[in-house]
Amino acid sequence: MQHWLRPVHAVFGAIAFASVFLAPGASARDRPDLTVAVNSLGQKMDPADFPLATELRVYGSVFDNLIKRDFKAEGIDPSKGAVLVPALATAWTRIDGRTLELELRQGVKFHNGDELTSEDVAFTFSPERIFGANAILPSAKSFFGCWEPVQVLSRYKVRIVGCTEDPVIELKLTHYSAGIVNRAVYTKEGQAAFKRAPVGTGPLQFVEWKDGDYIKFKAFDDYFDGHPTFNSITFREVPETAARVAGLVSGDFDLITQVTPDQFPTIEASPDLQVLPTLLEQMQMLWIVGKEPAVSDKRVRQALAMSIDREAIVQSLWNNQTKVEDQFQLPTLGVLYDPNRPGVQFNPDRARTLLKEAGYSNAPVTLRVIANYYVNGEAAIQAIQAMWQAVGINAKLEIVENFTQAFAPGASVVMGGCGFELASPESLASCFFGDEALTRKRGFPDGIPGLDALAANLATLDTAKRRQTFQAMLDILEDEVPATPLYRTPHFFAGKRSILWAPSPDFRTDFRPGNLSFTEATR
Amino acid sequence: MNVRFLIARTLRALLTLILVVTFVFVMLRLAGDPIKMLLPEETPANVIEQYRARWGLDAPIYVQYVSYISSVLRGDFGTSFRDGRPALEVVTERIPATATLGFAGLIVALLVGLPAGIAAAMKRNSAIDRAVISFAVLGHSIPTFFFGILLILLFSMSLRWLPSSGSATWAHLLMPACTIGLWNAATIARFTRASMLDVLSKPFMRTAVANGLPLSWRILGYALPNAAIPIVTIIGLIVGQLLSGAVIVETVFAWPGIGRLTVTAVAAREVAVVQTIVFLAALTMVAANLLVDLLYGWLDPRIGSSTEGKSR
Repeated sequence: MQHWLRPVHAVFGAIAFASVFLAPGASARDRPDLTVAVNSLGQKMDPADFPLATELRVYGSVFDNLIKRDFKAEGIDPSKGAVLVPALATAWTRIDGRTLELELRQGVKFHNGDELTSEDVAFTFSPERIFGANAILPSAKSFFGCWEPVQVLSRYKVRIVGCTEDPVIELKLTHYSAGIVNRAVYTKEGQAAFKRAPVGTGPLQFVEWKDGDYIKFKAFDDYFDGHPTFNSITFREVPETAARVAGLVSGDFDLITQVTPDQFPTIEASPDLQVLPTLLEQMQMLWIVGKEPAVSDKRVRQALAMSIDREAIVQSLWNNQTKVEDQFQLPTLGVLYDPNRPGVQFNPDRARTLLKEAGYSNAPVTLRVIANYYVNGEAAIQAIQAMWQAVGINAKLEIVENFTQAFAPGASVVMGGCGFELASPESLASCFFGDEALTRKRGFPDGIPGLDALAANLATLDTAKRRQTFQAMLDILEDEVPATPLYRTPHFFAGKRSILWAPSPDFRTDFRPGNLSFTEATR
Repeated sequence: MNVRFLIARTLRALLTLILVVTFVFVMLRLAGDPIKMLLPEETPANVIEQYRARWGLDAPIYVQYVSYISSVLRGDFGTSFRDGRPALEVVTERIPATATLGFAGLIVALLVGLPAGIAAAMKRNSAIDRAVISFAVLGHSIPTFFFGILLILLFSMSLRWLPSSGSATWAHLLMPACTIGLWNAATIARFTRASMLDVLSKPFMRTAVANGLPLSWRILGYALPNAAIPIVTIIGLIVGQLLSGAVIVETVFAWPGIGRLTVTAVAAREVAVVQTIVFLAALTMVAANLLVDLLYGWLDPRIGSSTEGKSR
């Protein structure tokens, strides 16, 4: 077992034990009030309103999806890929390549007491909210693609139909943007009011939001999946890492987010505290701006990719708390994942040869990184600059404020990330293929040769064909190098050992009964 | 003080406000497309245009400017792109926290800075004087983020006397107020000492001593009022700064004030929110300076009448 997974599995095991042996239906008085210090509260709590990672950490347990992923099962056996389990839908059936029919769980209550019905599902994925010309949240189309209006077959049965063949409707329904909202409140109060006082079906029921200070939730005791194990959870905004750690050590907070590796010794010095790592379904990578003369020859781009010692970066900067993946694929892709793909190998000698073959003439290769955007981002890029200089690349480093500045003319390489939140190759569309792919805006205006045509073959339910297509796409990405992966993006929480809770890899914090329990020390 | 003096100062204040608002309006638009900062990178071009139209960013900049100024004159400062609330509401709800911290910091600064400066001036070249000067140099040399973290480590982590961050109770106010207060106390002590030394050497102070007036009366009744103008000037500047928010101290202590809001709003190009903050901050600074100008006229009537003399 990978060593970075051990703490997570230990916590999962402990939660399972505690869930069985500690009374789940304890009264509100017996249940603890938790305080979670976060670096930012964000500004909105509507799951389809281009959610930020910081926001998902706050309201991750306010909404439920129709289908959810079982991260415990995936963690125990990654070869299974994404494990889908019922949530608000109890069963689902594929009718054809475009159509999915779902049976809703009956008796599920929203926080305001309304019962969940097909009308709420239809509104959540409606033209009015997402897909229409004047939709409230048109940006959500980036996640869902194109769906026809949801067909309401009965009070508890719906049919979702894609505009074209859509083999990943089920996976899209597990996405954090697919949380089911209460239609009545949303339409009556309006989206602006809803995102400040959301109404979902999850175990966290909104109570109060003091901007820049805290957001308070109480336990939703009518939660369909069991009594919440907490009484209330208050998220406090504490932007400074040292202050979050100090608050945890002094007992002001029960859990804190976004801990940096340099703070681990302070936390681990206390026997009552622990660091809780998770690897997000996102890869840190370098975009390579193909239209820049210095890197327009793909042999130069290949040389850039193979002269980075990723393992050394992971060891020195992350203390081995993250891992290098084999190209742009994660084990959660299941049968589409090829564990034997060698990925990008560190080979400085081959890199020198390629540079020579390409006639590289010491042209400056400008690396840009956004200040304080990625944890260890500046440190990693400085290490990469040194590695490139070691093979004879004239690497120049520039630190900028945002992505607009990063991709302004003159950039050859920019540090970024690409997510796999759908656990499918379609996750990569926003980065690499399709008319709206970022690569088209970032150095390959005509797209990556051959990739879009190949990607069209993904639209099938034939798994073998999808695997073959995806692996061929990875071959193209490895050959053309519009970007090169570095390592999985880790995220570190820290908390009291008496809290048995495991962070999720999809940005959301899960405080559902199956993932949160306490030892007697907390009670 | 006469009416012309008052009108001249008020007109100058208004002009300053208009210039500041215009400058910020232009700079925010030159510094990058707000839409690109707000929406994910992968947002399709047609969706970007939808949002641009929705938020009125598709019009030419001069049209946006005229629309903005006319809205401001009606008391409408626009809407926050992200949370959908009126920008004025987003900003004004932070004012109580900022004002509380600012005034608490000012009280600490005055309670420490004024007596320290007076004592140093009264005991010139003594150990007290040297101690005050050392405190002033040290107080101004230690960055507030460093001093704030030191206080947290000592009083929260080690002694566990005070909460590490937040704003829920008066106990939460102590460390941030001391961090701001002691930093500003150093400035006030330095100015008070210099100004008092100047006044203490004046002939009327020797006359007061010769007349046998008690020390407290000589200081409070004669020396301090005459030394007040530079001290009031610096306090006016400090008040303006404190009410505009103390970004670093608010960040370190997670104090939900305007300073932190400013940083996040600028980073996210929340145009309406930034413009509102700058407008209110400029208004505060201008009002504080106007008040100081008026206090000058009250403290030293020659200042008010000199304007009148020049205008004639």
